[in-house]
Amino acid sequence: MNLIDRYIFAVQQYTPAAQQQSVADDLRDHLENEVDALSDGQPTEQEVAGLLRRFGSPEQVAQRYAPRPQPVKPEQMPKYMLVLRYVIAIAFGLTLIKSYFTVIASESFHLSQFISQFIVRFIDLGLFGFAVVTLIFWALNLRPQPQDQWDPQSLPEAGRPWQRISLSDIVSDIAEGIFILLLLWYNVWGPEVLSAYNDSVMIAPALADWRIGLSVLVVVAIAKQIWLLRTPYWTARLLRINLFISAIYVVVFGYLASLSEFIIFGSQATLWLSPDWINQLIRGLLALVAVIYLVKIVRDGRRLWLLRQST
Amino acid sequence: MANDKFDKIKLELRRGILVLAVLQSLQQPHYGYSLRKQLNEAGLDIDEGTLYPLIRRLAEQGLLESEWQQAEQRKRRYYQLSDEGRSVLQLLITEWQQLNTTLQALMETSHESH
Repeated sequence: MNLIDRYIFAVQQYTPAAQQQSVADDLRDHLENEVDALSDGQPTEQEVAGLLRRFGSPEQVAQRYAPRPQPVKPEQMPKYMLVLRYVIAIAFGLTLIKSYFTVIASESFHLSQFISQFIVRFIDLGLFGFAVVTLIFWALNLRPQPQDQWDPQSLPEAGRPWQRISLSDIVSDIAEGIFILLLLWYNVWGPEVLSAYNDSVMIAPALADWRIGLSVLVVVAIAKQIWLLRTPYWTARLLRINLFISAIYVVVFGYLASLSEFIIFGSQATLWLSPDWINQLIRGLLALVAVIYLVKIVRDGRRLWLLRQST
Repeated sequence: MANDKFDKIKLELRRGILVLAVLQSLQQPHYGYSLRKQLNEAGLDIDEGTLYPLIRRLAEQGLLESEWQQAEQRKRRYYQLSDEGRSVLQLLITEWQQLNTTLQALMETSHESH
């Protein structure tokens, strides 16, 4: 009987507190009736152990008796894993930037210190991202998902692979937008590093003036990508919106690339790269973004033309 | 390999009819072990780890009523169909008979075509 007590006690460990007693009562009732049927109610310890093995491990039995709700539904798992991958990538990028700025603000550089700080910060930020993503999926699952709110007639024509937008592209664009927002508002979420700089590193006023406008642009682009999650294929209306957003991006990023300075480095900053080189690098990146959006305009213009031809 | 696949499909098939078998048997009161014994004797071999959580789930759904009764040595919980369980059982039996008729017809058709 001792084995049964131990078994029930172990099952309770995996059972929600509110159901522990009722599950234990149920289980004891069934187990004792099964034991009575073994060897005229006088089974050996081996026979009882065999019976318990047939019932299943304490964890399995607890899950069968009182299933715990899963934070992420199995059908949401591919989406969850994809989002998580991008969040971890963002955490990696931000940690790298934060660690770099910490190094250039400090007076001396030690590789081992840099690596250990990087690892701690990356784990810290990665865990935070993991918790936020899991909470969002859990909250979305609380609301029953209506499966019938879609219209078969709104599905795109078959045979145009380019009209489908992959989930990976949508999520990567959202991640890119969030990353840009975090970079733009670095002084809001990374003040402890900024104060360590002693004004060694500052965003140039010309670029700082564009922060709010740029942020609005990025937020609109993120909102469009979130909308795409519902209808992940190009329609004429969506292509027109995309063309409009891309055109603004080309103008804004083209103008920003023409600025003379993006980051101002104070005399205390210890740099691995020269300030001119860093500003050139930023200018190149901004120009690259403008070119990428120019290519997107050509691509989406052609797609819009193709759609019009077929209707 | 073929046997493995057959075993998996057989398990799914049996799992589907298990609720029907349990509800049908619980038109008479049973405690857990006596129900399992009855199902086994009828040819439906079902393990303890599957049957007992199923009884609990059906009781939580209101399809079964339970009552503790004094047996020879100790109290035992007896389960029986509730009124709602009886209605659901009738619907399930009708569904099962329709499925059976459909399957029978399908099997006869394919047998004739061979």
